Amino acid sequence: MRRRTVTNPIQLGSICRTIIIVGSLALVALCYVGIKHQMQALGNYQKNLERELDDVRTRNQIVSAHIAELTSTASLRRQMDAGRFTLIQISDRQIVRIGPDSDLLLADPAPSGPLLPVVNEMARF
Amino acid sequence: MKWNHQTRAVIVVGVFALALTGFSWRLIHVQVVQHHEFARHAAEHHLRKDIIHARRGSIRDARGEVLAENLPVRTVVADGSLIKNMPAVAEILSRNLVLPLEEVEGKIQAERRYVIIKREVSEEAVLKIREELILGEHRGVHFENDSIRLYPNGTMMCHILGFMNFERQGVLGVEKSMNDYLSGRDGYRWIERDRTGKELVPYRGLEKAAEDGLTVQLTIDMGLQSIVESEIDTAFANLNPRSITIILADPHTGEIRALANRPQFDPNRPGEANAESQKNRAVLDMVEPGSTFKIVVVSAALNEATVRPETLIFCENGNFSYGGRILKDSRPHGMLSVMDVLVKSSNIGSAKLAMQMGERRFYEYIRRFGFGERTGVELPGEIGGLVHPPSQWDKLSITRIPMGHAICATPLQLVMAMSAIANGGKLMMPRIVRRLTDSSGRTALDLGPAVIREVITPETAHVVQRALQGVTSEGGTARLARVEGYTVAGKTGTAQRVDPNGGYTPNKYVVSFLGYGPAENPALTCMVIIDDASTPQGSNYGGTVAAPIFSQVMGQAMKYLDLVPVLASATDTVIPRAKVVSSAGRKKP
Repeated sequence: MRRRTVTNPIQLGSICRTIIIVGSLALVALCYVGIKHQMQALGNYQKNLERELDDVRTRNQIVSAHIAELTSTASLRRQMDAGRFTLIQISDRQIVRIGPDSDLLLADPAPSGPLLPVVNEMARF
Repeated sequence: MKWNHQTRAVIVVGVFALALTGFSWRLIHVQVVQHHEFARHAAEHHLRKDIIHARRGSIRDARGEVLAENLPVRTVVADGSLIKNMPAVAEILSRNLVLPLEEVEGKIQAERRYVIIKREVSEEAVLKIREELILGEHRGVHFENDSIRLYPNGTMMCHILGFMNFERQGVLGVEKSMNDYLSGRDGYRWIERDRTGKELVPYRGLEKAAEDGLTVQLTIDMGLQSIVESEIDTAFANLNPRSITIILADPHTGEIRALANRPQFDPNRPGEANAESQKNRAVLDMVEPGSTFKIVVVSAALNEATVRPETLIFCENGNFSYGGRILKDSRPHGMLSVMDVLVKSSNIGSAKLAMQMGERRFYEYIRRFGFGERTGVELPGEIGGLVHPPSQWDKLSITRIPMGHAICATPLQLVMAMSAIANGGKLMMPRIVRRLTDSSGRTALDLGPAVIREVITPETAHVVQRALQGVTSEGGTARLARVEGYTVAGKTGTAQRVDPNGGYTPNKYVVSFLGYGPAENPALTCMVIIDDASTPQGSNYGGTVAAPIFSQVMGQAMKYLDLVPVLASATDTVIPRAKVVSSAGRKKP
């Protein structure tokens, strides 16, 4: 008996199509998983950054509170009482206060012009 | 029915169909009918609303010095179900938190999943604990964020600032009155957690950022406050009174520049304070003003033109019989001008001025000066004082009220009344909050000066100012209030202490001095009020006890404000210019 010589033809087009579709689906799935993984990693990174930022803010607040405590009037007063610094007396005669010349103002109460003569009134005493 | 292959097939198909229908029905029931219930269950396990706490705003003085700030701390919490080596964890916590080991061991129990070990733990201690827990690979201890309110100046300004309670609500002072602005608004974030409770950041839901509280800037100047605190401490130590209050205000704007009461408390440790020391007497104490109230009757009489400044009033040589009772002056006076009624502080002269004016008109002026109603200052619990309408007055009221009896006012009301005279007749609303700013420094609310009403004309105010200047001059009742180099004006007050059970307490006095300076161009109004000072018998008067304190406070305050002395006798001025002596705290030779 003569053997059949006819063989089933390989449907290359169909196989390729199937491979492409399956491959595409696999790729999409992989991309999806990859993106999800990336999102998760970025989320954790974001969370860590937030925590770090929060820590920095907290430390900043602690430092601000300490600065406020050290520079407060009460603290400065305590330091002054402890002799860390002292107030120096300044005589009124050593203070120069410049103001409008009262003699000139008496003569001209509303002086016109851009220049106003001034004088150290305390020097008159 | 024939039991052939067809029948069997039908039965098998039918069974499968029924089973699938059952599954489908269950699926639909779960997915559609019970959807909300299961969604809620899932949400309970995986979804959580995280509160983002708003940061409480700080409180600052007029120059920006921090008066109240937040100090971040942590709460140490243990989850007993996660702790494997209980003794080791307890030892670490006990050592670092300075707690007895038995106490920590007693708290940590396997069945307790949330137990607070200690509150208000410093960041440094938390870092040490965390390090040791990581080294020992221990789990089950976590740290929650929290904060405490820090008042860097301790007892200074305690009555103005107030403090906060355990629930983060302001209890007294500006912390209470400005609580809504200071506390801000908490935000929230819906988060999804995995099986271990860790947040799945990509699945964050609705989020609302927290709005931090506003910064409250006060009108208080810490330089002036420091002067007042220093003087009030000295007076409290020397006079050993029941209480003292000193107020400094700007008469033109109504801004309170300094305010202090004794006794006081430390807002950093409010639990140790008793109710008396927490009382802000400037707005909560109702006192009989005594002779300081004569400014009202004299101003009213002059403003109504029922008298002129030089009109002479017969002061009955110190004994005036009216309504079956004798009204006395501290010294006998014959004829006194209206100006001198104020300078000599004549009770009889004041009574006659009020009688001349009539009850109705006099009452109207009392109210116009702001007595009998709250001033509206941003301090909680303020009272309005006690002013009866003329319909409730008895026969003697018209002679007693002008000298500050049978009427009650708060020290702040008296300061604002004096400020009205000092600024030319306008009653200002007292302010203790100047502005509110957000975290980026932008002004959210600016509280400028507010005129309530014009009480008297500028001309009347000017006449009263001259009379008040006479009070501190030679021949006045308050020579001890004078300030070297400057002119000041004011009025003394001495009133018997009101007995809570009715009547007056014998030999107990509330003495005061209410004035302003410089007299020519007032920059500050000041009131010193002392309740029951320990002084030698017969020397407890406003002019002898309160006036010298006024002089000390005003002298330093005017120099601090760099007001040019008008009198040539001015001596050296101490200005707060610091000179570092040595880092070790000892003066260099």
